[in-house]
Amino acid sequence: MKNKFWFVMKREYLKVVKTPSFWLATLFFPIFIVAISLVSGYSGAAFEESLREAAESADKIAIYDETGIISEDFIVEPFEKVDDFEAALSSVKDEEIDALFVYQENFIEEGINVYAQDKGIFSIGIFNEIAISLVRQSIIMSLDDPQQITAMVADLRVEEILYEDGIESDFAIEQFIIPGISVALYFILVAFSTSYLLFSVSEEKENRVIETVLSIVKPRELILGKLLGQVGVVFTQLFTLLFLAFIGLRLTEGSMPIEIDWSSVEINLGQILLAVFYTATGFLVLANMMIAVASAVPSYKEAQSFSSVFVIASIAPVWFIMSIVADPSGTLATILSFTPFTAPFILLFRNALGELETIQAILSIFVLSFYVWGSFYIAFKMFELGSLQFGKNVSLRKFFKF
Amino acid sequence: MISIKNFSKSFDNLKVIDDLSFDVKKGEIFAYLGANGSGKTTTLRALLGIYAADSGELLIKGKPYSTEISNLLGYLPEERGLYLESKVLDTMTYFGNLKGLTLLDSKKWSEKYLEEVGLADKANEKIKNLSSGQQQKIQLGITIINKPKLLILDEPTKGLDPVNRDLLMEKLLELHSEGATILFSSHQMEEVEKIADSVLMLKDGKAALYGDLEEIKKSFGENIIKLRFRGRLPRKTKFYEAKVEKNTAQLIPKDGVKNNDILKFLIKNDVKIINFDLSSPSLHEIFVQISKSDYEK
Repeated sequence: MKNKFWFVMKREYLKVVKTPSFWLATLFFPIFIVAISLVSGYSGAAFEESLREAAESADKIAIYDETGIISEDFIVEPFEKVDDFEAALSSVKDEEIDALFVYQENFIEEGINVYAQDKGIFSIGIFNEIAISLVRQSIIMSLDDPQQITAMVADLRVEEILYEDGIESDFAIEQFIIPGISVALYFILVAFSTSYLLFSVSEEKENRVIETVLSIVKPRELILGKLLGQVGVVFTQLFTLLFLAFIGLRLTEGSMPIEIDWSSVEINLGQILLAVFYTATGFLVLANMMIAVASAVPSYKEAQSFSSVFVIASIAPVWFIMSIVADPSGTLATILSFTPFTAPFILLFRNALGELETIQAILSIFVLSFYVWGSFYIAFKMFELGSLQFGKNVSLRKFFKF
Repeated sequence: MISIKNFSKSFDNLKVIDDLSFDVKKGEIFAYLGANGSGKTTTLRALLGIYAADSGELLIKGKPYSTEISNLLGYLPEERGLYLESKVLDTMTYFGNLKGLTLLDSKKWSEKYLEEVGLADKANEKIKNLSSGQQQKIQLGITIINKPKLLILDEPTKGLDPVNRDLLMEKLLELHSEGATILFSSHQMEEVEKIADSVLMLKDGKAALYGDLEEIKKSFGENIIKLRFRGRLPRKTKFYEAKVEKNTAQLIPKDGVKNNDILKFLIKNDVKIINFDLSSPSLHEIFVQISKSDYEK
């Protein structure tokens, strides 16, 4: 006879994957991201184009040049050099000319001043590129050596050689594929799975079906079944996303800015095992807190409010990401690597960057194991106290007294 | 079938059950009575391992409850509910699976049951779309899907409409006739009197009454006179103690007084007798008497 947790797991899994909203969320998530990127990219290009057109359609642009750098060769319509700054400025104000570019003696420190009409938010900055380009092109024109001119205008290729501990490091985007997947998996777990789990426990309590269930299934079997059911949901989601990513990469092969050599995807067993460990422990800690919260309060709505604290804490490291990237082994990164809820993400990230010291990796295994044990303890205790307490919250006094 | 020995349980320093012992024999219908908050639900939850006992032994078939026994058990809790977002048939087969039935068997049984209770067309409906009475039928189906040998029912008729109350009684008696043992808590004394073989009445966490129902009723006196009358009934006499309500009274003869003496006394005092009936006290009367008094067995 099958273990009862298997039936719980099956129900929890099917309950989610049979809903259209699950597939909509899973399928439309990447489509949404791609669509947003395309729309944003297109809008940006269209906006730049409209700015360029607006600038090009100018009838008259006055140039007040104290430096003498601006080449006379460029002073053709619509440009016109002026000597009287105040008069030119008045012309701008009176809408007689479209813009006035002022190149002061010390423009390198002070910058270039552009005076133009305010025609709404889209008029901001439309002449800036032209003003900069004018001075750059003039400098290039002043160079005598054709080689120097070629060097100035060429699209130069840069080859970067990096050293790590005195040895040339072999940087490749492929080495981040596996750890990158684990970071994505962690985000799916935090964003989707834990909310399903919260609903699942709240539903049984709110609908008062929990007592019938507990007369048939042990609390541990019930919780384990729910956890594993959600893990199944996450893997379904992950494999679907990976499949979509694979199709996407196939379709866009050759047209991507970065080419990935899949045959050289680095399988670093230690890094992968650590990534799996951090993902699993991060999920378990958060999932256990969801069980505890759902058990402690009488309704799903209240559970949602309380649980958001833990979800925000788990994704909070995103706010520190630039500091972590700048100094992946610094004090902030180290502190967050051992703080409950932030630890899994930071450790995953540092692991992906290859910036996790061995001693910290070992210590993190013990610390995260302790957090998992602690969260299981809280979840079971709260479940025991609160699962059959209908209509009121479990007080902290009762929790600590129990 | 069930044996509870020296069971005690407290919540927040309040002793709810105090050294309680009783047995439920195989094939028996056992009524577990008590006022609200007397500890009936606590006992049933402890028996099913949902609560841990502070002390004592709670055994089913000689062993502490384990979820393996749940395959033989049907439990209907007082706080009952269903997965409102799930479909009727899915919910029933899920509980069937949990109680050890195969998917096929639990599906077959569920479909037959739904047909029987007139809900065959609702099999693929979400439970939240069913009426409260229809949900009660599903709840009962889940309780008995495994043809339980032991039924534990906490206030089974609470909140049931008359149709579902009759359905419940019919199903319980059907299972009892097939050999099932039934332990149930209730406030409905008329129902208890109709079906129970034995009773236990809880008061202050202890058994105030425990034993065979008929024996208990006998112990509370067979010689109660139920009287309907016209006129003025003498209340303080050497013949009886009277509880009077308008034109009806319950007379309990004092020691050594015969019924005929009371009858003669009433006639002599111009009481017009419409009905003079000798009977045992009802369970309701015993329950009220016990609840009000400090009587302890």
